[in-house]
Amino acid sequence: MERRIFLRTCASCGATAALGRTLFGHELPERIPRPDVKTMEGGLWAMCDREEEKLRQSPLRLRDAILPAYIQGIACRLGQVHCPDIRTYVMRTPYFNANMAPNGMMQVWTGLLLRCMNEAQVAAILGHEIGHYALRHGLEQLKDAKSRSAFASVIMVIPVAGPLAALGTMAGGFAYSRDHERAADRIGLELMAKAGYPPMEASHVWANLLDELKAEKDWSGDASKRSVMFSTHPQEAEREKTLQDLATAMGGNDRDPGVAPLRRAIAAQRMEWMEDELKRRRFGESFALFTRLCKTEPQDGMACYFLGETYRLRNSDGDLELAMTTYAKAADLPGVPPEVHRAMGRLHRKAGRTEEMKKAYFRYLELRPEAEDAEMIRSYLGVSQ
Amino acid sequence: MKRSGALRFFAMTLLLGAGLGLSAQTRRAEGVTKLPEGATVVVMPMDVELYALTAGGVREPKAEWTEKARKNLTDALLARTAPGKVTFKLFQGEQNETLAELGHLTNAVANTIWIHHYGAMKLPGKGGRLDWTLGEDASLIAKAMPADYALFLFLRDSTATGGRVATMAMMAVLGVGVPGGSQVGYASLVDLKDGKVVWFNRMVKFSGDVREAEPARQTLENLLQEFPD
Amino acid sequence: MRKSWIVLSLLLATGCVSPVTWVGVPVVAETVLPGQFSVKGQAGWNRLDEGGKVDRDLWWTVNGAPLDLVRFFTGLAPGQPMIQVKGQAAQKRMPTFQAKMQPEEIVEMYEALVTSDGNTFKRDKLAPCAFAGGDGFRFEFTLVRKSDEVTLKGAGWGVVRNDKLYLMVFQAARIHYYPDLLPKVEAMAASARIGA
Ligand SMILES: [Zn+2]
Repeated sequence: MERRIFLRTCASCGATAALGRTLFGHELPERIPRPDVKTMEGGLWAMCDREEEKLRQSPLRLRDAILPAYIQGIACRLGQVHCPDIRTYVMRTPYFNANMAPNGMMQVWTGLLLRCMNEAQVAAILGHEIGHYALRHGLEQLKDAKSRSAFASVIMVIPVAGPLAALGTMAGGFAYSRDHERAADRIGLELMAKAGYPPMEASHVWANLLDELKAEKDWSGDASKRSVMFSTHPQEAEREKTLQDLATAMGGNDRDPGVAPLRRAIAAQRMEWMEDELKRRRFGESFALFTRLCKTEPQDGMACYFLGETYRLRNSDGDLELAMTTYAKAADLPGVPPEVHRAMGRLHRKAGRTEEMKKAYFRYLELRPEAEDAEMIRSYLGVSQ
Repeated sequence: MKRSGALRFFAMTLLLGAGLGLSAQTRRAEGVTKLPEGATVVVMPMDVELYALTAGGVREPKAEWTEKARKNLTDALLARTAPGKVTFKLFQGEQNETLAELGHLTNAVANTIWIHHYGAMKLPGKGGRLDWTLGEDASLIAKAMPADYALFLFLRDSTATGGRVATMAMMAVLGVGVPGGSQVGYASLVDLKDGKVVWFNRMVKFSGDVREAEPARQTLENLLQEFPD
Repeated sequence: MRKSWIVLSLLLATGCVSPVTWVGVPVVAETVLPGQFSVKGQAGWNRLDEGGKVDRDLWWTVNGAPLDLVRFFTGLAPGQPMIQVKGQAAQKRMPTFQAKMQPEEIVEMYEALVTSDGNTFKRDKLAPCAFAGGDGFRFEFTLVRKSDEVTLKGAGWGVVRNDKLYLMVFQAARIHYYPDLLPKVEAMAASARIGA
């Protein structure tokens, strides 16, 4: 069974031969030594080192004591012998992305962490990126680009997102080949399993993202690709199916995916990220995301409040009523932020329901007496300083 | 400057430099003619990168070239030290978050000077003066490494390799211009008392080589044109 | 950002558009902007002139837009977005002004404008404030610009008059430029008037 699926799913996969024994029960390639500066790989590394220095100084890098260490820990467990060579950086940016440069620098974006339902899903992505790293896909990509036709227009071969703004460059100039993606997916599964995670979660990552993209398309009518990862990663539906088949064959899917540890690690920043998420104004995606979070954990007051916010901002027909009922529900749940009362107050005020407005706004001020908008709220209440 | 910024900047400046020519803008702030005698200039870590431009137009980072270029440029710069006049020394202070923020601002200021002082987008309110600053926080650099001035240096160099040179020659026969190597850079001198940019120069060239000591010294000379030492 | 200086320079360099230039702001008692909105001119400011085209998003700067920038949105009518963007889906994501919007929603609209490319925005303060002769509001914020990772601080003033929005937002590098120019911009905001 195991072999049959493996053969079927990999029949068209050119990289399989090269990758061969690293799959299913075999070891990762050995640690990658620092290459000589004279070589092409040395050039890549040096450039990545300089990017890494810039990343360290970025104001968007998370510097708290808990989360970066937590992510580094996951990467280390997955990376096995490569652990000492992997350096993770969590970057505050609301998009779904992670990447790993040839020199061992790995970026994980907060938009990705917000979307992961458990630690195993984080591990699935980190494992995939470690796969690209261990198999030196960055170098192969550069070699490949160099050997391409002589009159190709100038393309930038930059295997690091480095500055977050380099996204476009990344997506356009440095898409890994499909074969590389398949190979990285397989290594990712293998590493997950070895580290004790249920490999099935890898396919859930893609299923969830696909859901979000569909919802966005329905809402905006925009068929173009929204996610950075999707523009560089092939055929998501097919990929989801493949990951699912492989995970089934591997077994171990009844293991604990680690919901609580991830939630603990991101607790302090989760609200900020949800705000960031809404600022993207991809309300289709946000709607799918918050609906998923609320459904999975019906007691999640925070996610439920932000679902209400999504309705309010989307503001299609009937959305304000839906926002109100969602806020009202969220208000009674644990973990809901005091801002839920402000949100209700605003809707009451606009609808001219003075008594309800006062009640909600006073509650907000009671819970957040030092709020930066307290003066504004007091003016709505007709209360002077 | 971050990579995308740097590369966009790179492409843009090539275009602007080629299209508009280099206008004769003053490189010095008002009232600046010479640095005071005995002044010390701390050289901030240089933002230098060298690439090989291949036949297909791929820009391949070259670590060895970059290392050599840095060393050559550093040596040439330190050799400018004139006893009793201006002393150059390398920044060896601790990096911290404020210095990093200053670094980001330095890049933004350099881009702005490039566009609004040298470029076509002049700001009439500036009246042609070189009048930009990093603000008083620049004194934090002197705290990390005592000095009177700080010098920031940025250089991107791409050198056409054999295949590229052949392509250029071939296409030239067909009447099509294919860009070869180029050097784009700037240098900025900041007064650490008040953060004022006292001198700034930009450079766009289509020749030059910083991998060897002598041509690197010449590139530095170009970069440091009208430097007030 | 729509009017990114790079795009502008490139367009200008390649001669694709009618000239886009910065012109000096005259130091006169009243500089009239669209929507019969006016402020008192100050020395040193430059305004972006897009070939004489009247825009609803006007840019003023002293040192260059990446370092300091005042944006005016004057006389925005209900149903209008703050800026026009290319593409139906993109425009749909752009919020439009509604007459019944509360101050925090107007700030949210500006926030959407400046975070659409992934910049992080944090509102630091929102309070009632007289502006252009009406009961308006004032807000402050911190913005990290993703493209060059410069941290900016900002302050904005707004008022809704006869169902139209008048908004003036200042943002500048947190180091030096914001504190340096804020008093001037405060004076400018205090001089704002609506009507002939
Ligand atoms: Zn991948």
